[in-house]
Amino acid sequence: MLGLAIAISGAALAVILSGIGSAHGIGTAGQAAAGVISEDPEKFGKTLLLQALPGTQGIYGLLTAILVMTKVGLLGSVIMIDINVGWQIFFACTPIAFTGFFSGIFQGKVCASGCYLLAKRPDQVGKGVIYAAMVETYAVFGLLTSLLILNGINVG
Amino acid sequence: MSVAKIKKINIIAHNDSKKEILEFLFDRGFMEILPAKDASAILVRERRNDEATNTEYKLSKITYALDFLSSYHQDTRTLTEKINQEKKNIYLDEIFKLQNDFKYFEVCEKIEDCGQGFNTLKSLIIKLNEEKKKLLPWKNLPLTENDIETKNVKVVLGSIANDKYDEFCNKINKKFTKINITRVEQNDSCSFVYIIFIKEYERRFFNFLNNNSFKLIESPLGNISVRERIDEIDKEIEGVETEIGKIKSEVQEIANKHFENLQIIFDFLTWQLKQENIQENFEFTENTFSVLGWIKNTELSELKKGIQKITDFFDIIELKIKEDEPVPIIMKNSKLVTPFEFVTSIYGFPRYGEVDPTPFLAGFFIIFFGLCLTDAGYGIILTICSFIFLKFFKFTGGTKKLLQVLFFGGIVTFIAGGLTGGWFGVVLDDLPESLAWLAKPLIAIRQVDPVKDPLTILALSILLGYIHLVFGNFISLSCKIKQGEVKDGLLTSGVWIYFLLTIGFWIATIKGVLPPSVNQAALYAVISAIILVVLTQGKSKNPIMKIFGGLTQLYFGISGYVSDILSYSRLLALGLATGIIGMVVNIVGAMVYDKIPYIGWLLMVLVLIGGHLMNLVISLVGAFVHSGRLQYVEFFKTFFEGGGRIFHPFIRENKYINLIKK
Repeated sequence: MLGLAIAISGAALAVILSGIGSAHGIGTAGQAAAGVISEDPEKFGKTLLLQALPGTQGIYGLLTAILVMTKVGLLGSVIMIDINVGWQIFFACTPIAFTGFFSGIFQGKVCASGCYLLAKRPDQVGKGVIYAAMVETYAVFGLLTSLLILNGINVG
Repeated sequence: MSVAKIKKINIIAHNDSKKEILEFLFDRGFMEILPAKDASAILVRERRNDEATNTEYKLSKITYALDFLSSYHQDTRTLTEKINQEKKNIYLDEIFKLQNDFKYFEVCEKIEDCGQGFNTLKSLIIKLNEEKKKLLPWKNLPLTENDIETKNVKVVLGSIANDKYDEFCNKINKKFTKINITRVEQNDSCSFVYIIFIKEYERRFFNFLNNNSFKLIESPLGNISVRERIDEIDKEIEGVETEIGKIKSEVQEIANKHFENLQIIFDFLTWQLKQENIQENFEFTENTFSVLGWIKNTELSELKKGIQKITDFFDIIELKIKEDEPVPIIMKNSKLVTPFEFVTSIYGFPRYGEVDPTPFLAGFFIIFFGLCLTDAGYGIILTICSFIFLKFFKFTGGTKKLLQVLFFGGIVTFIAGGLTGGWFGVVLDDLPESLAWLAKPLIAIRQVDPVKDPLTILALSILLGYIHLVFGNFISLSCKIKQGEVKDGLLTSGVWIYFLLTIGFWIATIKGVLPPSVNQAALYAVISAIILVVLTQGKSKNPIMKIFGGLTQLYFGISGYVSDILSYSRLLALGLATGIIGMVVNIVGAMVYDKIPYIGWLLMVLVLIGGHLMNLVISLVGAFVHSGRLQYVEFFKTFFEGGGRIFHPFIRENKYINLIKK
């Protein structure tokens, strides 16, 4: 039972931390976006894109959690896993949890700056989006690592 | 090279043909006109003439008129025509004729008069309504101005809160004699009353009113009774409104008759202003004028021919392009590659003389895009949607290119999805027996399952990255050879190509792709490559320092390429993310269907449509942005700088009309 609990706490950590990162990032970007809209409401579509970018981290966290759930059978018949396996799953979740947390926050800041860029030079907004994607890279790597490790763990 | 060759030219011609030459250049739009810089003593730049100011004045009048009339104009276009912003087709000489015959200036003045009339009448109505509002509480007051004060008696008007009214009446009757208080109107919060009192105790009475929260209201009375005045106001308002109606129908008539013509004149005047303003860049002598500009190499002869038809007194001089001059660029790509100019434009345009990366990145971009999505179902949706948008709406410029890229991307996604067994996130192996007829062929097409076997896709991603980078170095090498810098090219890109190829060779033998018998050879090749890098990459003249520098470059080179190539692993991660989120949507959909009675199926449909749509949009943004990033950051680093300026021709730009040429 303890093994399962540890595995679940890993899944929860992935969702919670990356979710906080995303929420924080989307919040920051959203404030800047609203400021831009107050001047020029026609830019709504583009600001929405910029605001949505830091949202992916939360999704990656969710994705990892779901993978853990399918792994230990939480969505069907539960597999009683060993305590060691529990810890393995827990640590497999940490990469996306932490990279999601930090990259979400920082991506939000870059997206907010992207909104200011949009206000001043609307033709250059593509570059703002690319800058934001640079930050996301590390969440993508975190996700990749988590997925690969999870894939390698044998639940038995 | 897909950046067109450009020449800098100077046209000098006689002033008599200035107008025609200008019109010719404007019509063809193949020149970008430069401000004259090196004005010598004889050449004097003409000052901005009154004509331009005059045109601006006319334009401002028309802008006002069009703005004013826009609410009266009935747009007869259909919805798709509106979205496509379809414009009126018209021939050039029709416009010239209209410009001569149509007294647009008078129409504009007429509209301005109407506008002013409107404003006066509207403010009159506001004034009357305000007076009426003040009078309304007193509509039952049977008094006129003359009754307010008689020899002995006086009347005050005022309001008091409803809940205090009774108490107030009691008090007033107790304290004063011969007083009359009458309520004429009552609303939600207060009562409107008039009080008749005797002048003797006026001061005491007003003190009393002050202390009992009675609000005095200034008498709105005139020489007729309030009711009569209200009727009078109503009549006046009616009169003003018919007046407004008259003006409106007049304006409507103008709108019906002239709106489209005014739009045409607007465009005509914009052209005229542009022509007048561009002359600020000309240089003039008493009899000649001179223009500097850029033109595409291939269009030079056409320019010469065109001017020859106008006059014999001209000369076109080709100028030498200075090294640091910001030459504008015109991208020239095949039809298939043109959409990908959108991808390049996000990063920036190539400088003049630099290679245009668009044809090189197109193939990689689209493959990366497909790998980031890897869902055949999404691929179909994307292809169909972008096709519909392209077919039924006439987008132009960047939007059109983007849609075309998405169209191709959809096709590649479909293929990639088919090969990896991605169909709306459905796990093909878990499909029930009843659907075996569908699952079997799909499983047969599937070459690799990324969820079960991610390492294969990871290897594929990294291999693609390796090819991408080697290819980039080859482009760099070939560009340098074309520019005659053979030695420089070989010593930089050439060395790294050799290095990367030997490493690839070596890894291939280790992995057993190539027979192990060549293992030794591969190892020697790698060692030779390392030695080559160390010997050539140091920049210092001092041999020891040079080797030391070479070692540093080796370290930076290896770590740089390793991190660059690993960066392509995002293709696996994003592809997996799309598939797994799709899977999650399906799981949630199935749960809703199982757990909720009666309307479960309906909710399931909503969950599935909404969920997959959201996944498609998010994954789409991710796929586009990250495929782009792999070009900008990893690929461009090897050969491309950018920072070019796009060619801005001196040409007619139309807001309302579509000019057709005969």
